Amino acid sequence: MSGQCAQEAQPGLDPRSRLLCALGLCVAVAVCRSWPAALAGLGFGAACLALNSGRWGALARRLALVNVFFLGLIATVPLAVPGDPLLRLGSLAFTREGLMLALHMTAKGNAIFLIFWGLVQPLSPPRLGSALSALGVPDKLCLILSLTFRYLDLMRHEWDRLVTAARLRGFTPGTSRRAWGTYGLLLALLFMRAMDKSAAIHQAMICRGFDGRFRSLGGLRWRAVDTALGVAACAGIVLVAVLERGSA
Amino acid sequence: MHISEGVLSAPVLAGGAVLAVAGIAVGLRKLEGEALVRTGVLSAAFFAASLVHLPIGPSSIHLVLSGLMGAMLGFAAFPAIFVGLLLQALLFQFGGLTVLGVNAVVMGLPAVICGLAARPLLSRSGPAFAVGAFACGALSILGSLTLLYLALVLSGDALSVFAGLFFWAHLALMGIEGAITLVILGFLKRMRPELF
Amino acid sequence: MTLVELEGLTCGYQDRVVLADLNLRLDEGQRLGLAGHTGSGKTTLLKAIMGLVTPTGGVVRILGSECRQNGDFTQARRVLGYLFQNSDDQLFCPTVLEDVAFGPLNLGASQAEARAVALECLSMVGLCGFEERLTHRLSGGEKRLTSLAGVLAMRPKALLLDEPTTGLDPESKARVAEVLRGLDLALLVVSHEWDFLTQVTNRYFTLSHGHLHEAAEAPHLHHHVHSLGDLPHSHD
Repeated sequence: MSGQCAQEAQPGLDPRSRLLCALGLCVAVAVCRSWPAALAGLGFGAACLALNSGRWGALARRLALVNVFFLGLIATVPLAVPGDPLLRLGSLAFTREGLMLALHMTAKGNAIFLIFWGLVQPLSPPRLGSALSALGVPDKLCLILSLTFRYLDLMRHEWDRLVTAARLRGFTPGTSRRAWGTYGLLLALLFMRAMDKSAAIHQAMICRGFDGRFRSLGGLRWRAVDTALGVAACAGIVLVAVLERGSA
Repeated sequence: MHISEGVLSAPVLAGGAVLAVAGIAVGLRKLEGEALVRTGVLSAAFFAASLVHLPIGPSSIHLVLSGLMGAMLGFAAFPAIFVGLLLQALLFQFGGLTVLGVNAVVMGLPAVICGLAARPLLSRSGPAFAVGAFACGALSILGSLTLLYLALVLSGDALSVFAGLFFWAHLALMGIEGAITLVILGFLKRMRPELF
Repeated sequence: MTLVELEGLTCGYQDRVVLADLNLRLDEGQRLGLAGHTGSGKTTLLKAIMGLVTPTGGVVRILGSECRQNGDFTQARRVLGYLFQNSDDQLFCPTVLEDVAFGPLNLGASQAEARAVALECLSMVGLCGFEERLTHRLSGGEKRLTSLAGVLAMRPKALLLDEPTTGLDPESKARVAEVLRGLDLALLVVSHEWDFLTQVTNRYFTLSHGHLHEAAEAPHLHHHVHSLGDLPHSHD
């Protein structure tokens, strides 16, 4: 056949450093209460985008989706916060303080989203799994994550097959009682196949020495850039803390 | 059904994270061998099912099916839901790292409680089964909406209007989830009587 | 050395007998082919050898020791590599390298050792460069070869292969056959494709009504084996 396969080093940052830095920065921004800290968070988010390669179109779409939720907040929070009314709707007052609070939440939410997009979104689920495993997350949880990702596509195809088979036999999707009954049947079949499949998968695992413990292959490498990212993230967290104290 | 980042207060986020860790620990404790593998594969199936758009009138909805997960997986539903939320955050950026704990509790806790509470009824037949199956689906949605309301209100009075609107706007989901859970469990019981 | 010995093996579900009083021996280096119709019990036979179904009667001996309970088979499963009919059941890890390394890690290899064995087995099946590929995005042939690498990584003495060519295109079939021919292992290959069996094995059995019959000589279809296989064609 062919020659010996070579072990190739994974390029780029260690998923552990990405995950830990994202967690630290996101928590810092999530709990801050001051405007300077939230704005600093937006700055971190923008900086983190450099660690995700391109995909600007996808980013714009996701960002728009995130902000639909915040539009809801901007519309409702000012009604619940007492203060200087900007607008009166009958007995309800739309206050300046409330608007500022809602905008503050929006800034934080966007900052956290950008940090996540820059640091975590580039990780494939298997990379995330190996990072979690290396960080001490229980084997069993890592195995559930690994299986869920592995069989997600298979289950989606299974669903498509079930729906196609039903359509070929005259099923028309709709809101009728009958259509929903059919959806229920198809979902039941999907879950039944998943259970049958899991029995076969478990047998295959047993044949390869599975004894209930899931062992990770490891192979992550912490490099100087990871330490640098860690230092930068710590500096960011300290900055948030200082800004919080300064405006308290 | 989840909360976005940047909204909840620090104590609520921390409380959610602690409860989620406890829930995962309990869920994993007795999970071994084939049951562990089944949890992973069913979690994939539930994830796939939650991505399906089902038509309702001129629009469409996604199913939650948390009550059904509770009925089928028991305590293991909690780690399965957590994994689903984690993958959802990674693949679609819905929810995120800081709210993961709160979201897992909001969805997982009612699912496990309703699933376990419904089991005695699910093992019977006739109206008792139907009531149990419907209540399992409907009440786990009610529980999730209530927990979500609490998480928002506990984070500050500022969110009370939003929390109230969110609660009432989603209440109709109870009926839909109850009905579909009843239908699915009915078929499962007929095809695999040994399950319940 | 006898790797597998079945004596009076009987298997069945409720009132249906699948295998009846079946005897079979697989010695080191032997290459046995087993043909039979769908539902004739070929898969049940392999699963009984692996201890995945419980026989209703008879004896399964692996390396000379009798296997009755699940625990007895733990050792047997290190010696016998079982390739499942459906690769999706067998490839349960998200990436190729993780999947191939799963067996060695369970057998106590360190992460570095498991990685080295996995890379070696991937090169044996010709899948260099596939290490980080996602298993659910592989083609049918690649899935089968990855499963084979995962089984080989356990360093078995024999392979039990359940329909290794189902659903594969002719090119992938040829590659699977080539890899199998290059292995210095005992084989028990179950297939309904005589063409394939004649390529990788040299003694043939058929299974019908729960009984095993050895074909005295190469089956008659053997005369008709050539590159076109079962495609319609003409002879000049």
